[in-house]
Amino acid sequence: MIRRRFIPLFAALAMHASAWAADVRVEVRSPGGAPIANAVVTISGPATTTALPADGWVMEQKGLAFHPFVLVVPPGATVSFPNHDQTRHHVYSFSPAGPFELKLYGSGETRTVRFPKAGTIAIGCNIHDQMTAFIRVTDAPWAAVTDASGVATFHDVEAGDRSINVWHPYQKGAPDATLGRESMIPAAGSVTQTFLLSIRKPLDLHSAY
Amino acid sequence: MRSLVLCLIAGIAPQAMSQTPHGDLSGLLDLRVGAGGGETSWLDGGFGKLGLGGEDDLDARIARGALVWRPHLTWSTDLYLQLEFDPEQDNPVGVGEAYLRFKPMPAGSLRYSLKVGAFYPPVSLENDGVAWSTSRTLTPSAINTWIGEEVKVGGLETSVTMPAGAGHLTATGAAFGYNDTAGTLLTFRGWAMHDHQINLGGEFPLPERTPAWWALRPRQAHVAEPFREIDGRVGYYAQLEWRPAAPFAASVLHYDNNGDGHSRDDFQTSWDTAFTNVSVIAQLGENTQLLAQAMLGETAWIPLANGPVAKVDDVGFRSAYILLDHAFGGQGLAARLEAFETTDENQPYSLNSTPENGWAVTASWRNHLTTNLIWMVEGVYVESNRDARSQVGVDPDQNQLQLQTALRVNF
Ligand SMILES: [Cu+2]
Repeated sequence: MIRRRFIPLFAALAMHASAWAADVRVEVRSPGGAPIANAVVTISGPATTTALPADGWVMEQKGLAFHPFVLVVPPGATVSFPNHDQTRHHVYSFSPAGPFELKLYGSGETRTVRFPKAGTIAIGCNIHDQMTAFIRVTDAPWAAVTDASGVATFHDVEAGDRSINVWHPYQKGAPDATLGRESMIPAAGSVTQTFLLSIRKPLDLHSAY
Repeated sequence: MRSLVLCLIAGIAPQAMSQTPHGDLSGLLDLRVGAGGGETSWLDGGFGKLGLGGEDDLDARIARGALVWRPHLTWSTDLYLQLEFDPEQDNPVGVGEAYLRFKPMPAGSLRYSLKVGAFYPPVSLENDGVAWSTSRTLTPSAINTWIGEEVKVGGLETSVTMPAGAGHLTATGAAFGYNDTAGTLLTFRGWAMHDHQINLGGEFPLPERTPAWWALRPRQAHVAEPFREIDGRVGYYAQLEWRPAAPFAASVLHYDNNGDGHSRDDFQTSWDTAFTNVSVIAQLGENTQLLAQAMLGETAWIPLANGPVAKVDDVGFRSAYILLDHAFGGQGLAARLEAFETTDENQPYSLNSTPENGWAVTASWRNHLTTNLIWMVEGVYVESNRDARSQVGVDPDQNQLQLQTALRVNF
């Protein structure tokens, strides 16, 4: 009787010990309080494994635009670039962290690119100048992109002193400037951090050409 | 013939032929019902500023069909060929724009492009849809209506885009011909607002006048033929566009067709026409846009024997508009206010009575029924004064209201 009650309790303790972790919610806002989407939030720290897989990443072309606008991947990640438009695209980047060129390819076709090292990859299309996107390659164990409400949520972030960094393609000082802060992640529960970021968004021109 | 063309393209570009052919085709079909009040439309021989107008001008029709073929000939060269169908024109089927574009991969931070063929100068902010269609309203502003009817050029255009601060600067320059008669419609008719575009080799009517009036102008046909080379001289335009690190872009373009002002061919004259256009586009919010353009120019012709002092017509022209566009949940609203004016810069010698002034307001609603199907409703109200109307027995002060609804298929 005693034994049967003791074992589940011990198991629960052991599980908890291996996962002293908390949920982290990061909100990114403009100084005026407006939510900022497409900000990359990374949490650094001595995690044993990265939370991001190396495969399965997609940057699609649809409606003469890249989706998503910002993608965050770990070093060594493979990203596919499927073309869902009727027209052809010619996708390229000159960024030192991962230059590449995917020559003209048509509707329903796809290409893949591997990004071996950390950095920012600015992506364009040589046919449609208005098409732009960014891939942020990071070795941080936890990384996510803020949604339309400016929020990135992380589950089970290992407890301890961590630095949280925010990056946005249109941040002042881009492409490599980040906004960082040290944060103590508790052993349980959840924590919310808010970052105020000034971005300078250029004109978004939609052209049928 | 068709297989010959295909073989030729196949020879140049095997990589292009291995792609799905429908990927190179796009276009639009515009089905429209409209009604216009007030004076007879300029298309029917009057001085009316709009596409519709006159007694009981109510119609339902295919307003426009356009097909764009854009094959890639090499990795960095493509062909742009736009076929047009406009039943209001004497030749309903024609070629809109046709050019070869060379756009190499960017060299470092510089982007280059080169165009050779027949195309519009980059003046209009409104005609950013498929096949140079307007995406926010059915009727373009007076400025861009005029570009669409009289300012298509044949030549060579090159542009370079470079970083400037945290933004970009684009410099564009062109040398061209085939636009010697630009200014004819502005002189004989004045400004107008409609979406009929000139095709290569096409023509538009001038307002109907008495035989006695035409007898004084024995060398002018009763139509304008805008895409035409007459004097063998090369014109140019140059544009500077600035896109800072802010949701804003501004550009200045200067155009001069360098016409000699007197050469004639087939009852068309080489007008000496020049203008400057300033454009501003700003994103005021996530879904709100402001567009504005202002144009100032002059067009003139002189009799053969005399010097520039004796210009027969010397017309100053200017116009400006401001357009606000707001998109919400698959729909959009656009409102535009504009003013236009032509002046007589050579009063004592003028043959035409060219002065005119007016203003217009346009309101448009659009609903994206599906990705490819748009329903639009638009009203245009225009008030104008033109002395020349009195010469054909019409009150020089006129106002017009035009209502249209369209079903547009974009593909
Ligand atoms: Cu593209």
